[in-house]
Amino acid sequence: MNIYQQLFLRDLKVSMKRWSDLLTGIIMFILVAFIFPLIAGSDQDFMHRIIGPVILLSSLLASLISMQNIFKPDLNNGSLEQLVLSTHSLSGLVFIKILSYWISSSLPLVVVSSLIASAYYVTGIDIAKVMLTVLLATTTLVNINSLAAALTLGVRYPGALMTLILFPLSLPILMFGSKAIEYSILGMDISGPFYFLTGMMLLSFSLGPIATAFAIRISID
Amino acid sequence: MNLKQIYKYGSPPNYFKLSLKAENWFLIPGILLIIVGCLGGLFIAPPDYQMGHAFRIIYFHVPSAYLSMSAYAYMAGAALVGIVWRSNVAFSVAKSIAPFGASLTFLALVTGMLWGKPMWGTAWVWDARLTSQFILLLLYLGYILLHLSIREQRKADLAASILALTGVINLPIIHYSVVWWNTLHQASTISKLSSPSITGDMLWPLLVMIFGYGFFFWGVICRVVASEILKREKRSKWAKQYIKELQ
Amino acid sequence: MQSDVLQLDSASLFRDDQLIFNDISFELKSGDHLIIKGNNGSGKTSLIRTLCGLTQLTEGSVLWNHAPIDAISSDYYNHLAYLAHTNGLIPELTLLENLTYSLHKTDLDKDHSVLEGFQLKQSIQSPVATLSNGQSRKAALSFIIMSGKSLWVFDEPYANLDSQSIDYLNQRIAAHLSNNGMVITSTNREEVIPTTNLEITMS
Repeated sequence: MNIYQQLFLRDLKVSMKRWSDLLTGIIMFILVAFIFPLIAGSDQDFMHRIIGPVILLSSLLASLISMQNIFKPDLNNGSLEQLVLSTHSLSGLVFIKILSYWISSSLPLVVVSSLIASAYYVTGIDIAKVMLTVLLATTTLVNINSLAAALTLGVRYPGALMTLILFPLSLPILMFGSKAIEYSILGMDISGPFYFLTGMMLLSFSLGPIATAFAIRISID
Repeated sequence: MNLKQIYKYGSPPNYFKLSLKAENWFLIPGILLIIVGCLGGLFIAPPDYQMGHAFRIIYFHVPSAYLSMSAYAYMAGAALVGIVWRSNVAFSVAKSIAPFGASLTFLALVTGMLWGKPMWGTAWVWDARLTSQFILLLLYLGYILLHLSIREQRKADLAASILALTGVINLPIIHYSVVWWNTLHQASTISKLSSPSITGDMLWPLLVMIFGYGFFFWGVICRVVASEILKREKRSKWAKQYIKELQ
Repeated sequence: MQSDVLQLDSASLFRDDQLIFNDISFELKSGDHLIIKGNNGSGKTSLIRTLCGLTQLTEGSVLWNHAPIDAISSDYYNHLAYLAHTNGLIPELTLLENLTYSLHKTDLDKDHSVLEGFQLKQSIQSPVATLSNGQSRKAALSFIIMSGKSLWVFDEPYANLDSQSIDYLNQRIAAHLSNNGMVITSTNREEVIPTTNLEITMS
């Protein structure tokens, strides 16, 4: 078993043990999506209009609230330093970390989004399209989150910084993601937004780990 | 200019002296151009057929907006040079541009809103360009805040530079996303903020103002960069010599 | 037997305007044990981190077999095992799991003796979070010893250790040195560590 597989399995195992941290994001996701109809009205047309933005915003807030869990625990127990001192490329190791973090933090969101979609009166194949949108959008979001987390590793109260870094960079994903969901419900052609989301996913998974690795080296210095 | 000269001016003392010398070469033309532009824009150019005298705000809005975006590109370029060549000079330039770029963005937003109020009755419109300006302001503020939050200056330089580079890659993506978004939402105000066919009399003051802003900006940056370099290099021999000569 | 050499060449470290250490040089060859002494806050940890390539020197360089470590980091890290103030162990996993997923190459069957020597054999299935400070420290030390790397760098390894473990550690260090290994240790106490032949005092 090579080192990347080892790191992947190790991180998955560790996030299972840290399940209460994962729950933070999922709960935020559910509650934000839940609160909207309660306070804004719940007739079907309205809910079909807002489900796109609501789901994307919920994903963003969920990722924001759990951002520090990506690297902070490993920094505190010293395993992040040991990763930097490994003979293998730090970018590769960070890629694996981000991938396993995406699986443990965002795949549950994909599953939960199906429930939220049906609560928002979405039916049939459209629910699958909503899930696919969340799947694609969160891949880019997790990379942006990792970069922001790595940059703010050494900062004591990074709250304002995390928000300020995260929001502008994730805006295109939010826009195209909510458009994708809206088009799905209206039965229109969804290929445009989905191509964009896929493209951003590829871009962020190729550049994200490199930038994040660089940021980790700086923060550890 | 050959490579050797570029390397020569990349060293802190040389860049410092160059900056101070260049300052007035930028400031004075800048101020003159702005004065001429103001005269042309505020007094000489005829009032617009539709908008009357209120359109004159574009002489302040457009240069701010253009310069705020190109300043971000300069900042990202300096950040890249800083990372690749580990150059304190480049990092000083990037750090100095940030607050002024942010102020320009803020100015563009405020003048944009001042333009909007008499035009459409609302101060804020969700059109592509104002929104992009707001996002740009957030990017600048993120850069500045990151610099302030990391205590050790070398680490702050590197971290903030990564942020600047990420921002500059994302800036076109963000801008075109907002443009695309707005074409879908048929905001009736989009066409209003795009430059309409503009007569020569109105155009030349605008160009003069754009250049004036640019020169003035770089004049100010010259001095700020010089003081930043001096601050960073204050332990070195040339800096101590310079400070001694001042006293 | 090939001999490796680690050199520190007129190294200085400034953090912003604060001087951490100035103009330190040494040469460490296979079989050498360097001890870095100094009070708390004298810069020992910073020096060690620069030797590991985690912190960038302001002036001077670290050379491994006459090549700067920045250029050959992958090769250098093949030989380097570092124990920081933190243990580098994941508290939520058991000791055995930490070993299994460890990023050092370990041969579990061969090196059980180290865990026995530190009296950790019985705790191998316990989550690291349940171990005491001393036990976690010993676990981290045993990972370094089992890693098979030639340059061991310890940052205050004797803290939290009982005297029996200290003796065992010294034994293993001696064995490593006679096996052509290199060791760097930092300590803030005045004790004499038997195997050292190079000394730096930080002020």
